[in-house]
Amino acid sequence: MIKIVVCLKMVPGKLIDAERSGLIINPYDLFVLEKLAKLKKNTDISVIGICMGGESAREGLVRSKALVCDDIYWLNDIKFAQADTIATTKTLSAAIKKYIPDADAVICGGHAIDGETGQVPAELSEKLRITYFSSVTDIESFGHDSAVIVKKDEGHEMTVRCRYPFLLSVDSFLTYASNLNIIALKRAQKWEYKIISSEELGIAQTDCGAAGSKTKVINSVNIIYKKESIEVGGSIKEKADHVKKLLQQ
Amino acid sequence: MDKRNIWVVCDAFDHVDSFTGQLVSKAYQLSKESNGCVQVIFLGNTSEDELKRCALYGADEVVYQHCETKDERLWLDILSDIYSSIGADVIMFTNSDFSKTLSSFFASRFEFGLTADCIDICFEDENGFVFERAAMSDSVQARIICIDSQCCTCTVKKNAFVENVINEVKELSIRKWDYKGSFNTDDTYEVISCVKREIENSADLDNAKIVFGVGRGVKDKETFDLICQAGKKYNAVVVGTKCVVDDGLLPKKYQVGQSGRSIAPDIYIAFGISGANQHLVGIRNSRQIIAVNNNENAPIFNIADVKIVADVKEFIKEFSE
Repeated sequence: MIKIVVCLKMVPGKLIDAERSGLIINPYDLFVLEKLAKLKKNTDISVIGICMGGESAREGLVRSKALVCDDIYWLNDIKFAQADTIATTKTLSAAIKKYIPDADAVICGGHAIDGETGQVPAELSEKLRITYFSSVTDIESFGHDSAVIVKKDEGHEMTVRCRYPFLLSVDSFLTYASNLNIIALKRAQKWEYKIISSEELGIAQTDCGAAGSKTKVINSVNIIYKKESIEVGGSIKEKADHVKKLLQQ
Repeated sequence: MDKRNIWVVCDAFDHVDSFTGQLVSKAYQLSKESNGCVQVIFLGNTSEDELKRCALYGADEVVYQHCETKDERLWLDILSDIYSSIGADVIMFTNSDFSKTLSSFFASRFEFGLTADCIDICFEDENGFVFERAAMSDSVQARIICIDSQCCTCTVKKNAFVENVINEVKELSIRKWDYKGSFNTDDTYEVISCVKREIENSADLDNAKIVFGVGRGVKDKETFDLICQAGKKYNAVVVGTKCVVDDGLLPKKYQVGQSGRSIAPDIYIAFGISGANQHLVGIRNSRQIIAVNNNENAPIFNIADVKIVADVKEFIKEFSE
C-alpha cells in the first residue's frame, strides 16, 4: 500500500469569508485532500494527516478525517506555537521521521493563505532529503513505485512520473467546502485523535515554536510616507487638461 | 572590524537581469550603511563582460561558478560550498519560483532565518539587518529580524527596489569558483509529456512608463472601458487593486499590491482608488502619482503628487476625449 502524508494547516476562516469565525482547512491543503479522496476510490493508498495546531484545529481535523485521512497526527503543544518556517519544518520533519518513516509521498499545499510565505514545502523536503516538486497542479495517479503528477514550469505544463519518495508542493486550491458524508463526519467526530506533545515527539524546546525560530517580528510599521501633493482645482475640463499635459511631457 | 558580506544570488543563468540589478542596488545602499562588501553570486554560463555589469550597480565582487544546468539541488550544493568557504552576513534572492525553492533549501540546510517576499531591507545599529514584509492584517508592514542565526536570508519582491546605476567607478573583482562536487542532477523522475502554456507575459507591465490603476471607485463597465480606451491612447497599461481583481474586472496578473505585483512606472494614475496599504506598497516606487477620487480625504492623496478631487466617471469622460 502506498503511504501518503498530507501536511495540514488550519487558517482563519475570515480570510475566505468575512462572516466565518474559527479556523478552516487551508484551501490549498483542502484541494490535496479532495484529490486524494477521489484517487482513493480506485487506488490502494493510505492517507495520513499531520497538523501542528491547538485545540481550535479540531474541527478542520474532523473534516480531514471524514474526507480521506486514515490516520492523523496532531502536534498540539503550546511549545510548538509561534514557529517560523525553520521551526515548523524541524517539527514536521521530526514527526514524519518518527511516526511515518516509510512514507512514499509527502504532500503540502503550496502555501498557507495566512502566512503566504510558501517556503515550508521546500524546506521540509531538504530536511527529509527527498526529491521536491514545486508548482504541482494535479495528481493523476499513484502506481507501485512512482506517481504521475502535472506541474507547471516557466511556460510549460509537464506531466511527470516521479519515483518515491518525494514531496509535492501543490499550487491549486478550492475555496468551497466539499459535500461530506454525514456518517463519515459523525464517525470522525467520535474518533480519538492522537495528540502529540513536544515531549512525546522528543524534540528539544529550543528546536520548536518561538524558541526554535530563526526570525522574529520586532514591530509593525507603516512604511508609506506622506507626500506633499499639489491639488488641481478648476472645472472638470481644466482638471482633465492638466493631467493630459502631464502625460504629454 | 571585518566587512560584512552582502550576497546577491543571480538566477538569470546567462546574463545579469534587471531584477538582479535591483537587488545589487539595494545591497550597495546597505553596504554603505553597514560597512559591507557587495558580492554577486553568479551560477550559470555567461561572459566576463556581462559579469562586469554588476559593478554598475555597486558590486565589489562577483563569484562565478560555471555550470550548464539550472537545477535547485545542484545550485544548493554549489552555494553551500561557496558559503562554507567565504561566508555571508546577508543573502538576497529574487522571488522567482526557482529562487524561492533554492532559498528555502539553503535556509533549511543551514537553519538560517528566512524572510519571504521582502519589500524593504534596512540596517540599524541596534537590530542589524531588518526585513520588511506585509503583516498578516495587510494594513501594516511587519519588521523582521533574524535571531540566533549566523546569516540572514531573504527573497525579495520584484520591483520592490529601484535599479540604480551608481556614480562612482568601482573596481570589480571576478572570482572564478572551482566547485569540486558532482554536477550530476536528480534522475528520480521522467517527463512523460510537456505542452507549451501561455506565459503570463509581464514584460509589458515591468517596462510600462505609464500605468493606470483602477479601484472600487470605478463602479460601472462604461467607466472602466473609458479608462482602457484612454490607456490605449497614452500607451498605458491598466492594472487594478485586489478587490477589482477579486470582482473579476481584471485578470490576476494585473493585480498590483502586496498580494499582487509591485510596479515602478514614471507616471501612475489612480482612478477611484481609496488607498489601502495593500495597494500602496505596490505603487510606492512610482516616480509620479496622480490620484483621482471623489473623496477628498481618501488616503491615496497622502502619497499622491497630484491630487484631483473629482467624480471618476465625469473625469474620465473628459479625459478620454
